[in-house]
Amino acid sequence: MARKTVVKRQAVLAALLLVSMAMLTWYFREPMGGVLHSTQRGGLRVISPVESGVSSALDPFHNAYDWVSGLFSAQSENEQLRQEADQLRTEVVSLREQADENKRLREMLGFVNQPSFPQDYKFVTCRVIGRSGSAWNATITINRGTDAGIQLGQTVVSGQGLVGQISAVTSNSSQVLLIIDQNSHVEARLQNTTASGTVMGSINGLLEMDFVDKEQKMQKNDVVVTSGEGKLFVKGVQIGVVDETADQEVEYFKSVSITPFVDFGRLSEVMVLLPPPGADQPPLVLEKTP
Amino acid sequence: MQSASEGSFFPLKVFALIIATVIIQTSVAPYLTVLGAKPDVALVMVVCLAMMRGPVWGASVGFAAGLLIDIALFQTLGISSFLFTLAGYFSGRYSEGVDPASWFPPVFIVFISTVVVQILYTMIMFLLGVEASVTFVLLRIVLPTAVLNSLLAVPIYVVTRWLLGGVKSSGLFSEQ
Repeated sequence: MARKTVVKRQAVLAALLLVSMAMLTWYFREPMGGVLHSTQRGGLRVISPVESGVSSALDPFHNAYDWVSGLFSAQSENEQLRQEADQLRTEVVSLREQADENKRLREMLGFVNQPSFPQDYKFVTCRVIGRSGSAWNATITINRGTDAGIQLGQTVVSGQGLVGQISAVTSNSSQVLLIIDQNSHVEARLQNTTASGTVMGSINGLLEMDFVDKEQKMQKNDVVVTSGEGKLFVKGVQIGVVDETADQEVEYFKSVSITPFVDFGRLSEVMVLLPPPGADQPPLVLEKTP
Repeated sequence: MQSASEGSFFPLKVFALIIATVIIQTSVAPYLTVLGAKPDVALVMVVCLAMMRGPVWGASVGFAAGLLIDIALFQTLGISSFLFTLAGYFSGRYSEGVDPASWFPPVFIVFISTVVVQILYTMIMFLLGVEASVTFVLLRIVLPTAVLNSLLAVPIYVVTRWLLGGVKSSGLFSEQ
């Protein structure tokens, strides 16, 4: 191979790597409103409608796949019955999809009607249209943005409990940092005691409540809710239940494993809580997500 | 930049393939979880294309796909483009001379590329202050993702090759 070509190849590689490194450095140094962040939001604004369309189109396939795989062993040998079963299965998939959606929406409505729902807050219901593709980042993308009143830092919940916080927003989509993300930390307390601490995510998707006073008593299945301290999250939203506690003598604090109420693997609709007009914008869990 | 048989639509085809792959990566791949790992369809496509078209196409497509992934997932701009550029270049470089009809090279090179990219990503995360158990990362992220990507290598190689019209070799962008 000609030496000239080899040099050209290496020059292309070096140039692309340099551009990547420059972007990486610049991105870290600039504020959230900087040029690269704005460009990224612009790109996301273009991509998210396509993602939303693909996600909607694939929903029936996801459900049909789950349903058919579950019934695979029960298929009849009779051709007529098989056809009938196919037809019924299609109807069942459709009805089940509607029933699931109704159930989720009822749960959300139940949450809104609870006394713990923050006073004067409104909510926007959103569909999940994308998820982070790696274990390092636990985020979801939802189909609403600033056009629907969503702002950075707002609390995101589902019918079961706390989901996360808005970490990026465009006019028609937003990114939610889930509470199971390793960068997430939620000030929390136990519902029926004075015990409090910080609920943190981890790379393995589990929740831990740390910085809990060792003197505090707690039992398995005690309910953990947001405390509202630091104003990061709306107060009183359910997070999960106590699973087990680790109380080592050498540690200053007690560490508690939490089982979240929300099944993060199956999230399909969420609610973003909109504070009343004039309220302070909540701060972000993290300024930047790597 | 491309041979006459590729036609002037070739870069457009590559661009469309990149966009489609990024959409699949963000909308479909996260649901295909096996042992907690998710396939990296975009990386597999970059490696397959690099094997067909050489290191410069590999690096360029890797850069573009990585950049779009960073935008679509609102990640730090530059991380995926940096890693995919490296993966595309070296996959193209080290697949020179391999039999394009054999199924083994795509599987092998995708496996190695995934392991290297995941380890580099882990190192970047550690440098950024992220805490994680090395054993967990190796056993629950790196290896399952590499196996999953390797399983997808042959179908994605076949589809990419069909879409782009086989293996070419002429000029800087595809010289092998």
